[in-house]
Amino acid sequence: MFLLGCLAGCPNGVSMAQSLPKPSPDTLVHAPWLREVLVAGTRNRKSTVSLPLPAAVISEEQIKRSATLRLSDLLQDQSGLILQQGFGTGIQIQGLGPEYNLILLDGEPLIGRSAGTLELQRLGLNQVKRVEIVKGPSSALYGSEALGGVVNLVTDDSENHQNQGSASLRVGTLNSLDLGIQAQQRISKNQPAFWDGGVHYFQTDQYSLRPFTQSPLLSPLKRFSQQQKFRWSPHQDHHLLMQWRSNHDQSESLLSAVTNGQRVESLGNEQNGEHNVRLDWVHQPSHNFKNYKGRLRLYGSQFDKKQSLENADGPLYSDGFEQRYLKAEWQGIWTSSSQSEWVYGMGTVRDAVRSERYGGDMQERTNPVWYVFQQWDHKLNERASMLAAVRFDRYQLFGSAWSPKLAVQWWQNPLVNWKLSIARGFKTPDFRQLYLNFINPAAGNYRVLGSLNAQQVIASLDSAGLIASRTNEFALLQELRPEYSTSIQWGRTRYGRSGILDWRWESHWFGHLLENMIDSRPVAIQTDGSQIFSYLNINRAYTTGVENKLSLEHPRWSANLGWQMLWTGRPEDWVRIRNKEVYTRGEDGFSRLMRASDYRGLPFRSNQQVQVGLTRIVKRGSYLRWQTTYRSSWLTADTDGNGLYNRQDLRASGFAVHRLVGGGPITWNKTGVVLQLQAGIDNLFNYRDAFFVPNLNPRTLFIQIEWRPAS
Amino acid sequence: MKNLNPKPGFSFRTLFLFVGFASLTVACDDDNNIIPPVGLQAVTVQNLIADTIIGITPGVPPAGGIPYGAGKFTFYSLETNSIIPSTDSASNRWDLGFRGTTIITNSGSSGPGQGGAFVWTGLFADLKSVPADSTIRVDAAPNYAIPVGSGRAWYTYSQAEQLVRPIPGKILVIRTASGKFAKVEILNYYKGGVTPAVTEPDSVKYKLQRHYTFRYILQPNGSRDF
Repeated sequence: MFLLGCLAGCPNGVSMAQSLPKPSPDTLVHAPWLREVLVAGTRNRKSTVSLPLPAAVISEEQIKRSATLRLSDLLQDQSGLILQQGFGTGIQIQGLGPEYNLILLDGEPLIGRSAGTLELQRLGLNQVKRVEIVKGPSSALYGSEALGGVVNLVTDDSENHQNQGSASLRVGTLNSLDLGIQAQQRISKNQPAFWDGGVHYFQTDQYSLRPFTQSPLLSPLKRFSQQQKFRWSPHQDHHLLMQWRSNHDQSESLLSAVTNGQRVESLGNEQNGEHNVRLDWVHQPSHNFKNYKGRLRLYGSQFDKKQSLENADGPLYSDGFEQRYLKAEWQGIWTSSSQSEWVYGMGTVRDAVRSERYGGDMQERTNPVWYVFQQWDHKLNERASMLAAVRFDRYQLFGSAWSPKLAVQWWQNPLVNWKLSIARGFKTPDFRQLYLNFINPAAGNYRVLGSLNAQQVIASLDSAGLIASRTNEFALLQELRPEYSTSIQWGRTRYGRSGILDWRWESHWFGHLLENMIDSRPVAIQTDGSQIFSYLNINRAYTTGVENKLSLEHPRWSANLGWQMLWTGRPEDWVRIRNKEVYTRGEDGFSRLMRASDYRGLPFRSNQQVQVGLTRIVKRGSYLRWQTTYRSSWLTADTDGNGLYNRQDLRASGFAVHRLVGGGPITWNKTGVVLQLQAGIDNLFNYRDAFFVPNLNPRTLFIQIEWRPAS
Repeated sequence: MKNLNPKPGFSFRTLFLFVGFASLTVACDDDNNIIPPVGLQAVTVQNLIADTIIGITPGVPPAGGIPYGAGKFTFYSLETNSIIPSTDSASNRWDLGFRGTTIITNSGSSGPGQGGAFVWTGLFADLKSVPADSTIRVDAAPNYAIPVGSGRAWYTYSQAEQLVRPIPGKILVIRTASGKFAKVEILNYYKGGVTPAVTEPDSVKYKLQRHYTFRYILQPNGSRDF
């Protein structure tokens, strides 16, 4: 069963690990975990059981049962993943924020980050067959931004080549409507050629894409997406794949404010357009070089964003952003022996952006890079295996980065497994940190300059007599270097069986140390007293924690429990506290020295996250599912201005959201028509926090019907 | 982790650091709360009005929607612990002037006195003596002895929350118009000495702001010790 999924596309990896003493259908009864396979961990199909890294796989069945429409909603239910708001909704993995996590679509990065955050509410889940989550740095395979973890959306992993199709309709409160049609068809009788495609439309009211929007009276969102895929094997050794996906959304908000007793109304508009195109040529010799499998891939993605605000007097504000991403990559998998498997790869990326905020000229800025990587997956003995990888990235703008990774796995007995990995991750400075040239007239004319602009712009302002003084940080302005993280993951997985109940308990400890972190600092003061900020590599930070996950599987029910504890901070803060250099405000209103017990580390980090899911399987595929996710309070701003986040600062309260979903098939025996019916309630107890969690949907009821013609 | 990225312009966050122009007609209405100085005991001044907001320009930011005050300083004498009428602004009678988040000293471009100031970091009680080697700055508008701007001298301003808060551990060392030394700790910027909740609407935050609560100790004998 476990090997079945692997017959078509992947030679080894899995079969190699098969001989290790690991849980098998003999030791577990249902053991759904033995069927969990992911690509993101090694760039090759591998079972989560034999992967020496903390990872999770959300199967198509789980996605369907969760009845979530957006990636953000699905990830929110995962143990150890926390949604982080600000410039969109992103994900926090092991305490590292959205800018340090990589979101992939079939192994290729999605683009269009805003201030580091890729908006996960924009990503629909239709046609997603599987979501893979690998925690800890994966820069050794994917390069920049893979520090906290990698989330890979897999759409093309289907080994099922039957003709099939489905149509679904979902309606819900807030005028939400979701329509989808998809189909898969063999397009040639003689040749193995398949087409697979789908279209999808979604709309809803009261949907705030933008955080901190005040009084969004009505903010409808409309999204249209489609995906087309074409596979063809012109020869038994050669396989071609072409894929095109696009996504367009539009959101309008009517804003209202009362000034001087007068109501002023204005209309905001945001449009996003995205295209991803992928072309793969897979070469897998069936006679000579049978232990080789190569893949040449061309990937291109384009993202456009337009924002505008207007009122009765005319346009007030407009902003444009365009990104083009082009990548060519070759990857080869070579099985040198029954013990060893190598992955080699090299490629080049051209990433280009235009933005009105980079000097207002919409001039294209690019950051070309080329890279090579290598990975060795090796079985050491009957009980142990290792994974070693290294990648080298050479950037035109700021030098190079080495990303090594070493992971080992050891089976204490067939049901107990230990994993240890050490890796480095990196993140390149983004275009905003390099090129931004922004003045905020609405807040005292402060100015933010990218590091590549800063010295030049300040010099020209100075010659115009507009600079009063330079701060000490001005001397530190230099070419920005990538941010680095060093991380350790250490964990144990236990499998067990009690009667007809199977269980798995994963627990692991993680620690990340981030260095060279980029933060903004005032570098000069203008003659009107306003400050000029720029970006510097100055910070260090750590995150560490423990995650426990328990999964239970019974023929009639399943349960999963996740619990993560997290501690974060900056080493320099501890030094300052110890040196008695930090002050806070006491209850009496007077300043006092800050104590170590006041310190709360990094903002937006919850110390605890608990996630509980219960699924009851009734009969013939009917089910009822309860999901609860809780996160404890977190700090949002340094309100006492001491530069540290402490107990006295602004804190958002912890909260829990609950979801109840149920569904099942309706069958007409005479006609053979099968309808899948689903209904549910999101945010059951209607938790709202407009200030700190503005993007959390209010209570939403929905009903969905899906039709699958019998093939 | 200051997030300095421009916030998209849909919001009605308005600017705050704006300083208007006009007259000082408002007086400190809480004279009763002011305790007269005895020896070198700390004096706490409450609800000192500093050019409170009287209106908001029409329209929406950045062109409009900007709150403004009458634009005049409230002059204060640390020696007599009282408000000095603005008609005496060109005299040595006042030591500090307050207008929004701007605090001026009776020196340089601001007044004829021998005033000046600098920002000392530490606890109020720990400043026992003004260090002999300290540099006392004088006003040279718009570069005042006490710099104006979030995080520069005594306060931080958060655009997302629209609130001004004094930074703990920042002591303003003041040289008065007559050349004596005083130490001042700003405690609060809102009426009644209580910072409004972040969830309060902007209108409430506007109404309550520009009311200083501060404590100070003046050394009347002219020495640098407190």
